[in-house]
Amino acid sequence: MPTSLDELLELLDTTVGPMTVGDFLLHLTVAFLLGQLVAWVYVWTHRGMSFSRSQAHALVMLAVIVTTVMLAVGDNVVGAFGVFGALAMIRFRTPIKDTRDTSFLFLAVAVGVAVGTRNLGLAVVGAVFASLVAVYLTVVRFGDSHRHDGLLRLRLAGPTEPGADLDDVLRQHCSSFSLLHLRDTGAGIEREVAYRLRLYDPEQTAPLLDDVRGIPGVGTVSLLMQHHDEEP
Amino acid sequence: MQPSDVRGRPRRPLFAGLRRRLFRALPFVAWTGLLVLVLGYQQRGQVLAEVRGIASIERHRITAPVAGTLAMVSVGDHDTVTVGQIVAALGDEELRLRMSRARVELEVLRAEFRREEGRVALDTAIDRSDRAGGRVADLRRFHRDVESAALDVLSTRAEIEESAVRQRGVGIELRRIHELVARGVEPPSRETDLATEHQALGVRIDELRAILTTREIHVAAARERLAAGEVASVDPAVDADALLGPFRWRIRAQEVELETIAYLRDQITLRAPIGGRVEQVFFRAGERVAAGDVLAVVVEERVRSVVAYVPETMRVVLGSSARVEVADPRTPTRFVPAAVESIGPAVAPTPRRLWRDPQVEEWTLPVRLAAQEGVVPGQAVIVRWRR
Repeated sequence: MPTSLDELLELLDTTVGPMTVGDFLLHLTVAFLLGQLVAWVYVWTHRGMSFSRSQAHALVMLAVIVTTVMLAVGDNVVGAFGVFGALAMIRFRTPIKDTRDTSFLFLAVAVGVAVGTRNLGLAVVGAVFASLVAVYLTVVRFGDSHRHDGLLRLRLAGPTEPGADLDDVLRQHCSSFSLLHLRDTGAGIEREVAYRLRLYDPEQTAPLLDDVRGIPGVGTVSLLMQHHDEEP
Repeated sequence: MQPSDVRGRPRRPLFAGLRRRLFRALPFVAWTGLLVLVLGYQQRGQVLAEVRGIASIERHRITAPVAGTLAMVSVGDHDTVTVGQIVAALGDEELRLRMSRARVELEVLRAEFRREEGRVALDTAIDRSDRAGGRVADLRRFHRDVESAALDVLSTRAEIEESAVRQRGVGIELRRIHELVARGVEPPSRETDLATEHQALGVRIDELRAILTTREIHVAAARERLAAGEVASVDPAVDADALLGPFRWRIRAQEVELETIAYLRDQITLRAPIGGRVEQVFFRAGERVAAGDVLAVVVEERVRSVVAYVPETMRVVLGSSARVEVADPRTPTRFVPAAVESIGPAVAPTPRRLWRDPQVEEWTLPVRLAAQEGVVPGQAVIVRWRR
C-alpha cells in the first residue's frame, strides 16, 4: 500500500499507451469517486435555502461523462474542437430546465463522440457506466435535501399546549421533529400547530396518527408526507 | 408497557430507523469500497510502461551451390515445407562434364608424372657414371703428384748428402794442406783454393736444404690433395623428390577437384533447412542460376523471440523488477507473461511501421523477449511492464 501522497499519486498514474476496457472502467470509476466526493462537499457545505438534487447528480454524472469524452478524443486536436463545437451548439440551442437533463444530453454527445472516434468499447463502457451511476444515484437518493419526511398539522381544542404527551408520541415515532407553526385562532378556542417530522419509518404513518389522535385535546390531525422524488 | 427513560418518558425504540440509517450509509460504504478496489487494483499491477514490439522473423535462404539449370522446383509461394523436404533440384549435366574433364586431366597429370619420373631416373644414372670416371683420373693425378714430390725430396736429400760428403773430404784435405803449407811444402794458394771450395760446398748445402724444405711442403700439399680427392670420391644422392614434388602436388590438387565435384553432385538436390512456409520462390524450372543465387526463402513459422522497442524515457523500467507481459493487438486484454532475454547495447532507429508519426523518425532501445504461442512472425505486439 502507498505510504505517502507521492506514492499514492504515482499509483494512480496511468498515463501509458493504448487503453483497454479495464483501463476505461478504472478511469470512469475514479471519475465517479471523485465526482461524488465533490458532490458530497457541495451538499454538506451548501448554505442556501435548498439545493437542487439534480445539481448534485449532475456533479457526479458530468465527471463520468467528461471523462468518457476525453478518453475518446485523446490527443486528437481536431476531435477536441469538434466536441467543443457540438456541445456549445447543443447547449445554446436546447432549452434545458434541469441540470441533470444537461448531463444526460452530454452523455448522449459523449457516446456519439466515442463511437465516431471508433472507440466502440469506450462507448459501450461509458454509456453503461454512466447509466448505472444515474440509477445508483437515484436509488440511494443521493443529494436528497429532505431532512424531514412530512408535515404534521393538528388542531388543539382549547388553550392547552401540546404538552409532553405530544412530545412523547412524536419522539416515539420520529427521529427528529420541530415546531414549525403555532397559530392561535383567537379567543382561546383552538390552536393550530404544525410540526416538521422525520419518521423512523416513513411507511409507518398510521401508528403515528393513531397515537396523536389518542392525545387528549387533539382535534383534527393531518399529515402531509413529502415524496423524495419531488424536488423541494 | 413501553420502556421509559430516567424521567419517565418513553424511550426511542432500539432499532428504530436502523434500516433508514443503513440505507443512508450505503453511498459511503459503496464509495469506500470502490476506492479500496481501485487502489488495490492499481497496487496489484500498475502499468509502468507500454510499448509496441515486433515478432521476429527467421528467414532461411536456399541458395544454388553451383551454377546450372534448374531441373525441378517443387514448391511455390506460401507453401508449407518440412525439414528436409525437397525444394528444387539442379540439372547435373554440367557437373558430369566437369567430372569427366577432371578425370582426363588427372590421367594426363599422372602420365606426365611417370614420364618425368623416368627421365629423372635416367639422368641420375648418367650423372653418377660420369662422376665416377672423372674421380678416378683425379686420384691418379694426385698420386703422381705425391710420388713426384717425394722423388724430388729424395733427390734433394741425396744431393745434400753428396755435398756434405765432399765437404767433409775437402775439409780433411784442407787440414792436411794447411799442415803442409805450414811446413812450407805446399804453396798457400792450394790452401786458399781448398778453403774456397769448402765454403762453396757449404753454400751449396744450404741452398739444397732450402730446396728440400720447399719440396717437402710440396709433398705435404700433394698428399692433402690426394686425401681430399679420396673423400670426395663418394657420389652425392640425386634429389628426385624435389624434382617430382610439383608433379605430385598437381595430381593431388586434381584429385581434390574430383572429390569436390562429386560432393557438389550430391548437393544439387536442394532441401528445406527448416520447417515453415515459403515466403518467395525466385526462379522457375528450366531457368539458369549461378552459384550462390537465392532460389527461395523459407520463413520459420515458430516465432523465437519478440523485440520490443522501448523509448529512452522509459528505460528506467528495464532495470526494475517489473513483470513483462505481451499481448496480441487483436486481443489486447489477454496479456501473457514474458521474460526479457537481452537488452540491446545501443539506441537504434525504430522500424518505420512503429512510428507514431510517419514523418518523424523515432529512436528506441531494442529489448528481446521470449516469444509466446500464437504470435505470427513479423506481427506487431503490445508489450507491458507492470509493477
